[in-house]
Amino acid sequence: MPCKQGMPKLVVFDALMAHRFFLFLIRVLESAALLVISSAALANVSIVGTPAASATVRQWGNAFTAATNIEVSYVEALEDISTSELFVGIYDLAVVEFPLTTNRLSDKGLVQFPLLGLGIAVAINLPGIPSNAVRLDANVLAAMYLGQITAWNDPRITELNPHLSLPAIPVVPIAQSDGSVVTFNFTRYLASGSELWRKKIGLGSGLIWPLGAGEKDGGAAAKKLLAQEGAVGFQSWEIVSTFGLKTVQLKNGHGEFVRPTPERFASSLRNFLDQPTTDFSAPVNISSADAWPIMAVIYGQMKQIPEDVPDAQETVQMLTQVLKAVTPGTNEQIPVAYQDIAAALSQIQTSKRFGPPQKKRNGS
Amino acid sequence: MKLLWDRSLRCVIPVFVFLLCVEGAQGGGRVPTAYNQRYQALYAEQELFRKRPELLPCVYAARDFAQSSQTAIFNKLRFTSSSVQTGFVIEALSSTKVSRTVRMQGEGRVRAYSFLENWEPANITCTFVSGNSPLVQLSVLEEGSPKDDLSVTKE
Repeated sequence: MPCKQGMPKLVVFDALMAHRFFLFLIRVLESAALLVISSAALANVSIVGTPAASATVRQWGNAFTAATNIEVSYVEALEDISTSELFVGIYDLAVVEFPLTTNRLSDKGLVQFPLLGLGIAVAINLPGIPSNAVRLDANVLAAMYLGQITAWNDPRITELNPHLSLPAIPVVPIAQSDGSVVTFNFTRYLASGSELWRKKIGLGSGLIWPLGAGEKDGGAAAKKLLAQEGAVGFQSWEIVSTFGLKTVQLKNGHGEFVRPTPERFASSLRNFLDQPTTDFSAPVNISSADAWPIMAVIYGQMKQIPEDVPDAQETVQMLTQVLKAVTPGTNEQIPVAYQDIAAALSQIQTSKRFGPPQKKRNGS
Repeated sequence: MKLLWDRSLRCVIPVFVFLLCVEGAQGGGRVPTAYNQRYQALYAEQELFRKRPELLPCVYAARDFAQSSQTAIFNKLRFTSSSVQTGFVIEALSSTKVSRTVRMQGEGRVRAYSFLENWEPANITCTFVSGNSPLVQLSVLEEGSPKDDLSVTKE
């Protein structure tokens, strides 16, 4: 009889536990749904790339967030890590200094487009000589960095500057080995004017320079340049402006001596982007009479078929909005015009596709 | 019965929470999967070439060539700090195309059927012509050959 009395209790107990279990299950499902919804709401633009572009791109991101309330993050990373992390779908946009070749881009299913242009100037520290008074060319600069020209009153320098009385102080070449496109394109300029440089030293962003190891970065090189009389170095225009360095006129691809100005950088970038480019095309000695001879371009990369379609849509939206709004030629880093990247952005599939497109049957 | 149920729940819930914690602690890349190992290797390589990223296309092209080619002298390549120091890059402009030649030294595992891994100093030359696949040449670096030879380019 105790069994008969106990059974209803057990049934009631089981029903109660089942009820509790279902309540628990519903809460778990609610939490999961909330998590999914909140993660969708937090969809944002994640960018990885070079420290050289971080200030400008973060500025773009802040402007975009203020306008749309969509978060934009920028993480600094090594050159190829940026591309790899974009490839595996961690980030939506990679910003790189060294562009990939067309073969490698198609292998990885990436789209590449220019984002920013930089002017690279040659800076000097010569007491009593005003900024942009001295004229130099690639051959003389290469001879300075090779240690062949050791004093500022060397005949090869005075030949280019007959109007100046240059001091008889030693030339102190200052270079950085920082792995940047600024350094790489400066060596491109030296190689364009000196066969000896081309054969012996070559191109490099982190060279062991003929006169010793380079400084760790542009900032360290600029400080040394300011401290050392007779110094000559190369810097991006951003650092030249920050440190107030004196610059020189350089001989461009047309044989003209030109002064570095933001307007000239912008027009040189425009010339470069208007020309048909192939792999390894660089904005050095651009074929225009008024062009500044040493420029650099920073590129953006996106996946053609993105992992996260909403984020890719927002990235395209950000680039479109920002590049349509900025005025070219007003900044130290020159943004490209929206028209320059419109074709590349249109290749990115920002609508979800499931599987290959179905073929039509019977020709219908 | 209720007591039994309560006790079992009291036992199960802490175990469940403990398992969740362990799972959470393991998340984030501590599990030594092949993917993580490859990713760590990628970071190490990037760190090696962080001062000369322009050499990386040749590193990848040479490695792919060694692994895919049946005729290459090496079937595996590895790179050291001397690869960075000896890296030599030059570009040449023809009428319409730009070509880049990269020469560097590394170490190659000789393609041979042996239990021993024969790693030899290797000369690696990559030629990139815009729009074409890279051309890679691998050879054993002869003992006593001057490193300055790297500065002589064939174009």
